[in-house]
Formats: sequence, C-alpha cells, structure tokens
Amino acid sequence: MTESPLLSVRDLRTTFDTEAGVVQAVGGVSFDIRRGEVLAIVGESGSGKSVTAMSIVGLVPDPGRIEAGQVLWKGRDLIGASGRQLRAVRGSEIGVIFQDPMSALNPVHTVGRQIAESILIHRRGTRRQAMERAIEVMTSIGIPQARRRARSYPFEFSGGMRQRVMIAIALANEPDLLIADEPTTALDVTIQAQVVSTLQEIRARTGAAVLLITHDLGLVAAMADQVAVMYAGRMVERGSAEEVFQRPRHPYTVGLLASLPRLDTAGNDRLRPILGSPPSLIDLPSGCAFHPRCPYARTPVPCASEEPPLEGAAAIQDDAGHRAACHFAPEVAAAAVVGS
Amino acid sequence: MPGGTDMAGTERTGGPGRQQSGPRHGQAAVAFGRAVRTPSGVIGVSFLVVAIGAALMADTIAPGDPFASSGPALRPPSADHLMGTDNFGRDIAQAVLYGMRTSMTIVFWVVAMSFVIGVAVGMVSGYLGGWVDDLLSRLTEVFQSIPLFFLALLVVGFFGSGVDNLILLLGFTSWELLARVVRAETLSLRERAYMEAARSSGASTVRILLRHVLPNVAPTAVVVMALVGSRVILIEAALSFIGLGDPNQISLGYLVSSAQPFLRVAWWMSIFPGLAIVVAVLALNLTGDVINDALDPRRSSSGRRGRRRRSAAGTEAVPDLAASTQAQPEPRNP
Repeated sequence: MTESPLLSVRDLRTTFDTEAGVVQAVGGVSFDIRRGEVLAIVGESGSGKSVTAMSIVGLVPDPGRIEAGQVLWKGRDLIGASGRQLRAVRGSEIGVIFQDPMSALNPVHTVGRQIAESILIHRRGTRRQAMERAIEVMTSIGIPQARRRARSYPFEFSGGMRQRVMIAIALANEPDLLIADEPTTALDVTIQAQVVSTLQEIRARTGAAVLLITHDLGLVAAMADQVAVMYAGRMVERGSAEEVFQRPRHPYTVGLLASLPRLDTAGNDRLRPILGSPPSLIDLPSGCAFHPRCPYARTPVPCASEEPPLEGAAAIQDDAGHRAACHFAPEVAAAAVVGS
Repeated sequence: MPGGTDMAGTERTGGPGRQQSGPRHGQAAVAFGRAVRTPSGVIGVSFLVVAIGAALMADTIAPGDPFASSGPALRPPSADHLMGTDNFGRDIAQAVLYGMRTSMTIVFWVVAMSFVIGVAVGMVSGYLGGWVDDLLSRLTEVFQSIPLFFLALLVVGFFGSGVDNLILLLGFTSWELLARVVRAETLSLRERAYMEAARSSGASTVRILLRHVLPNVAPTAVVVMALVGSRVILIEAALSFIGLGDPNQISLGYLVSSAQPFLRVAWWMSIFPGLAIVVAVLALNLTGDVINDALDPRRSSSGRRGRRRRSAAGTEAVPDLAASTQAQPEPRNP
C-alpha cells in the first residue's frame, strides 16, 4: 500500500443549469495527486479543466453546481463541507493562482497588503508581522526590492510581476497544493519562462504539489510529472508526462500532439489539425464523445454506442498507470508510434 | 509638513521614512486638483469651506444667544450688524451663522446614517444576490416611493419637531438612492477576478465586503452623499419655513419665513438667510460634481464632453448616477 494521496477526486460531476439546457461541464472525472507531485490537466477551452479545479475548492461560479462525486482532501470530503471548513482550506492548505494577473489583484490595495491579507485570514498575528511575512514571500519568489515594492499598487507592476504577486498570495500560507489555472496564458513568452522557473523553484523548495491547468503543452512538458487529458468534460487519457507525450494512446491526445509544431521533425511536415469542432456540452455525442472527430472510430459499434471507461480501461501492459479511455487504445498507440 | 506640499487635496501622512504617496494618490490628487480649478470647482469648494466654517465657528464669531435682541429693530446692514437686524432687533448675521450650524449638523448626521444604511444594504444586496437581493431591492423601492416631505410632515406632527427627530427621520429615509447605486457597483465588482481571488484565499463574505467592495464603492458613495446632503438642507429649510422646525434652534428656513411680513421694509431679513441656503446647497452639489469629475477619467481628460454632460440643475450634476434612479420632485421653498 502506497502513501494515501493528498487529493483524491472521485467521479466528479459538475453541471451548469442554463436556459438552453443542462451543461455538463465535468462529467465524471477521477484523479489523485500525491504530495509533491505536479499533475497537469490539459485540454482545449471548454473541456472542463477550470471547472474541475474550481470544484475542488468549492468555488464553482453560478449557476453551476457539483452534482456528484467526492473531493477527498487529506482523506476528508470537501464536497458538502461547511463554508467555514472550506474557507479554512482555501488559501491556507490549497492556494490558487489565477489566469489573468491584470485583473486578479484589487486595484485599491497595495500588493503587500493583499499578500498580508491572505496571511491574516488564516493566522493570528499583527498586521506588521503579516507584512513582514509578505515581504519575505515576495523576496523568496524573486521580486526585487520587495520591501519597497510591497507598498506599490498593482497598476505599478508589469504583467509578469503581478503574476508573481499572485503566486506570492497563493504561497503565503505554505499550502500543500497549489492550483495554477493557466498561470502563463495571459503573459508574453519571455515572462512565461520566468514564471515557469519561479513555479519550478517553489516546487523544489516547498515540496508543494501542483495542479496545473493549461492548454500549453510546452508548459506541461517543462513542469508536469503526471498528465491528464480532458475532452468534453471527461478525462480521456492519464499517465506520466513522459509516457503520454511519447506514447499517446487516445486519438485526441495523438491529434493534440500532432497539431503542434515540433523541433525534431522535418521542416516540410505540415501540422495536422483535429478536424471538426468540440461538441456541445448540452448534447454530447453518444458513446465516446470524441468519435465524430476521431480517425480511428468505428461506428456504430462500439464507438457511437458505448462510452469507453478510463478507470476500467484495459491495463496497458508496459505501464499500469497509463490509461486511455478508448476502445482501440492499443491500435492508436501502435499507429502513433509509427506515425511520429 | 515633511511630506511635501505638491499633493493638493490628499493628506496622506505616513510614518517617518515612508515614501511620498504613491502615484495612485498622486494621480487622484492631480485629477482632483484639475477638477477643483474649474469654475464650479472653485465655487463649490469655497462655498463648502464657508458653510462648514460658519457651522463650526458660529459661537466663536458671534457669541451669545441668537434669539436675544442685540440692538434696534429692522436696521439695514451696517458695520455693527453686517446683515442688519430683524423685527426684534436680533442680529441677522448671527442668526444665519447659527442657522447654518443647525443645517450642517442635520446634514452631517443624516448623511452619516444613510451612508451606513445605504452602503450596507447596497453591498449585501448586490453581493449576495438571490432572494436577499430581491428582498432588499423591494425594500429600497418602498422607501423610494415614500414622499419624503409629507412623511416628514406626519412625523413632525406626531412626534414633535426636535432636531433629533428630524435627523432620525431623514437618516432612515435618505439611503435609497445610495443603496441602489452601491448595489449596481457591487454587482459589477462581484464578477471581477480579484473577488474570485479573494474567495479562493479563504476570505469570508464579510471580509470581502469590507476589504474589497467597500473601498471600491466608497468614492461613488461620497458623490451620492453630497447630493443627498443638499436635498436634506432643502427639506429641513422647507419644514422650518412652514413652522415645523425645531423651535429651540435657529434655522435658515425659519429665518426666511419670519422675514415674510417685512419683505417690503427689510429686504435683508430674507435675502441673507436665503443666500445662505443657496450657498449650502450649491456647496454640496458642486463639490459632489467636482469629486465625480476627479473620479471619472473621461470627464477630466476631455473638457468638451464634460461640459456637455454637466447640466445646470444641481441635483442632475451626476448624470451617470442619476440614471439609476427616477427623477425625484425636489421639495422647494414655498
């Protein structure tokens, strides 16, 4: 028996009641994160990555609600926990970094005060002590002249610096898990690199686990231990980063990787997009949600009739942890290796 | 002052070694300074200084009982009696000072009360939404539909005409405009990413309202309160004009009213108290306008647009705020 996971999400279902119908944003997702591990959830816009993350901390925006499932944080189910219990976990044991640092800081408070505030919410102490700690955290993540900068307002910071402030807020209480929701998407490329190295440093220094939500496969390759690929609210493939990148077993993952430029292929190779467009989450295709776009699909049986499970997926002989929710995973794996 | 004097209007005193106020305050100060230098800004702020100064220093400038006679009756303005005397030989200038004190005292407490009620109702309503919002919004509408002047008549009729009664009455009924404006602002603030960030760091609703919503709605609230204040002055003046003011306090409306029989023989008896009312109302309206100008970058940067939007009627001075409320009939001095 291995160490019990820090966070264990079981069959999470989150839906949004809209006028057009019930949108199933997350349709039965399960995964574990162990201490110190970096799990990346990748997928296109609308695949349910962010909603999954927000469901964990109980902050699903209206009109969404968590319909079923468990979010076991250190063995305790956060779904159904009281507001007070959830608030005690949020920002203290689980820190969240948001996508857009330009709008995620309150313009009327100094950054030092905003970091200090997240400390004071969870710890006893004076304002002055909290401010000292805030300056310490700012220094530790590479904000130069932290003491002076703590007195500045968010608008006086560049995008990259603001993202570091966001990271500082998330880190202020030394969380065990950091949820980073597209932490680099709103930044330009050079700044992205800085933020990535900051995150890596933090991880090495504090040993915090990271749940990385992104569609940037480069970021995943740089940071993640484990990768989970989401499509239409479901997890379609999961495994170690290396495995998933090297030997993808789900046609969607294969398509995702093939649609990216690579340095190691010949220059005259064309990028291959995934044909079609993402399905409506109100009216999902029957069976496997990906089958209308899937080059491997055999319809109607089994792809249009039966939803392939991820958990019970035929264990793949070489790596028990690597699973894909596809009826033809072995064929896909073989073809993908040949193809690339 | 160690901080330097370039920050017109903002007195941000920090501990020793603290840097000069950051650019944010600097910019606000610059915008405020620019808005103050417009004609309406100059008039508004100087009137406000005069009105508050008169209220604070009434008994320093003119000690003694304002109800007591201090010379011959019905004398025109002179060196001894700057604004003349009334039919009992009372000094008008002194009466105006004390009347201003009464008005400003009432305005201060009413504004304080309705600020607390209006901001609380507006923030809770806008932030929580759902049935709480429905309930509070309907409540606000109920208060908005009460004809304030007639309610004031009733209350004074039943409970007597003390200043404290008047303050309570107006305080409990003047918050609805503010509540609506604050609610609207809160609705938009609630969706900002930094609210979500605050929630994700475990902040409770109360903390979010006080730390994140309140500072963001406060400037707008101040503008609305300036308008409410000027309305309060007019209502108080109107009530005491028709004899329902506090009989123990000199009031501007009472002075104008008691001057009526002497309009032909002693113009100074009605002119000066009347002017005092104008000064007090204009002071609050124009100052509200100035603050609004300073807060709205579109108005402070492009003069033409600002001028077009600046309307002549005092209470319409904040069109973007007034848009969220229906035009309300202003009680006028009969």
